[in-house]
Amino acid sequence: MVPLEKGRRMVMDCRRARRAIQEYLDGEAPEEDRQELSAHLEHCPGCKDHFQEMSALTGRLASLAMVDPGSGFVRDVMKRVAVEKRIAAEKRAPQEVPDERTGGFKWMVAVLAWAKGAAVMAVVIFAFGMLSLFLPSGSTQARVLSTDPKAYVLVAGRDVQVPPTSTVHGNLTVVDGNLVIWGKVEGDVRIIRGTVKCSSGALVGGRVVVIESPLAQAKDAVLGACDWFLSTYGRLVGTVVDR
Amino acid sequence: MAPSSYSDLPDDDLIRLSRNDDDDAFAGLVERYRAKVFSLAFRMVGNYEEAEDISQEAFINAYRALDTFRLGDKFSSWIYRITTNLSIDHLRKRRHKEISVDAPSNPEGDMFIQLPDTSNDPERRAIEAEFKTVVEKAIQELSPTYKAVVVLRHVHNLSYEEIAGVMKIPLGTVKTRLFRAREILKAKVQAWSGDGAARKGA
Repeated sequence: MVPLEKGRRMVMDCRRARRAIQEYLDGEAPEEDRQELSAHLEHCPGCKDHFQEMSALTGRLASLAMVDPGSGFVRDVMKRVAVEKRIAAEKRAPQEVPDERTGGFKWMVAVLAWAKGAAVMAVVIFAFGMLSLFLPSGSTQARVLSTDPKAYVLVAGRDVQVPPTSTVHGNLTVVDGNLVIWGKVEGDVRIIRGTVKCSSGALVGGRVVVIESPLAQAKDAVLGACDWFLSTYGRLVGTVVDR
Repeated sequence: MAPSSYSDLPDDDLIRLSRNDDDDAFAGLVERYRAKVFSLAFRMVGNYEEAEDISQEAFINAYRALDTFRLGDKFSSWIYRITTNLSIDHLRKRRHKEISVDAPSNPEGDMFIQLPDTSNDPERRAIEAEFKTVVEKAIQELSPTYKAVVVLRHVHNLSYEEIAGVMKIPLGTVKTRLFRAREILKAKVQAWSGDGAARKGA
């Protein structure tokens, strides 16, 4: 008597042959199965028919083509990615979104960014900047300067706010504006022609200087501004967006 | 959309860049896999618009979970898995709808399946017409899990082991599903072709 295990290995029955046929057509049948299968097919017409039919089916399945949705598909996905990013950003910092709920009052975001410019350029900018700061002007638009490149400050016309969740890591200078501090300013606060108010939760790490009359306190202000300028390599930013 | 240099980068590099907020790198991944992902969804659900929705969703899901992807694994397997799961879910939901249509709960019986109107887009109509071949019709009648192994095997040319990796099922299960699915396909194709031959003969 041949042990069952061995017997099954040596003689392939039709049930095993049909599985072996599919594995063979998939290119996944081991060598010994292939030999056993061909031996089985030689004297089993039923399985031989089955082999032909399966082979035909596999051929038709293999001819199923890929369908390309076109390059517009990539554009559509990337549009949704942009939405995803915005949602993620809002979750991370909900205060960094202009709040539309404050009545009809449109807070504009002043993005305080800076560029590392050459020293000469900085001096030129400084000269013009200082000049424009102390020229009397009927400006209806506040200008905001900060030593913190990522300072998050809201500006709408002459109204300037440091929102409750915002922290300015450095000095803050407001020209021709009325500042309300809800959040934190780690450095000094300078107001040139304007007012400043602090909420109960506000924190200012440095001094608060209000320069109402630039002519009277020009010297002090210029010295202070120079100090600020030199310590920060002249990052005159204050980009204010208005509608 | 993506600079041409991205097309030479391996998947892992594109994923690393995407994690660093490089959208062009992610667009490169979408570009690379759009046809494969869309084909998988299309062969699964058999409808152009639905396939488009599912494949977009698949890429967005991948984008959201990009940080959880293990570098060194195959991105293709991962995105196929996401697409397969979304397609299977979609088919199951659709089946529930069909069942409730068969037995409308209200007397008006106003629960019809809304079939998308594809009549005015010749390109889509052509693709869907091609679908009407006997084999493809037979595939559409398979259960979702059988359909998935057949599509991954024959449209995407994956090995048994790769299919097992995509669907997270044992190798033996892949084989069994594939064998049964193709036995069903063979029987259906033979029956339908047989009908056609009989009618022609008559």
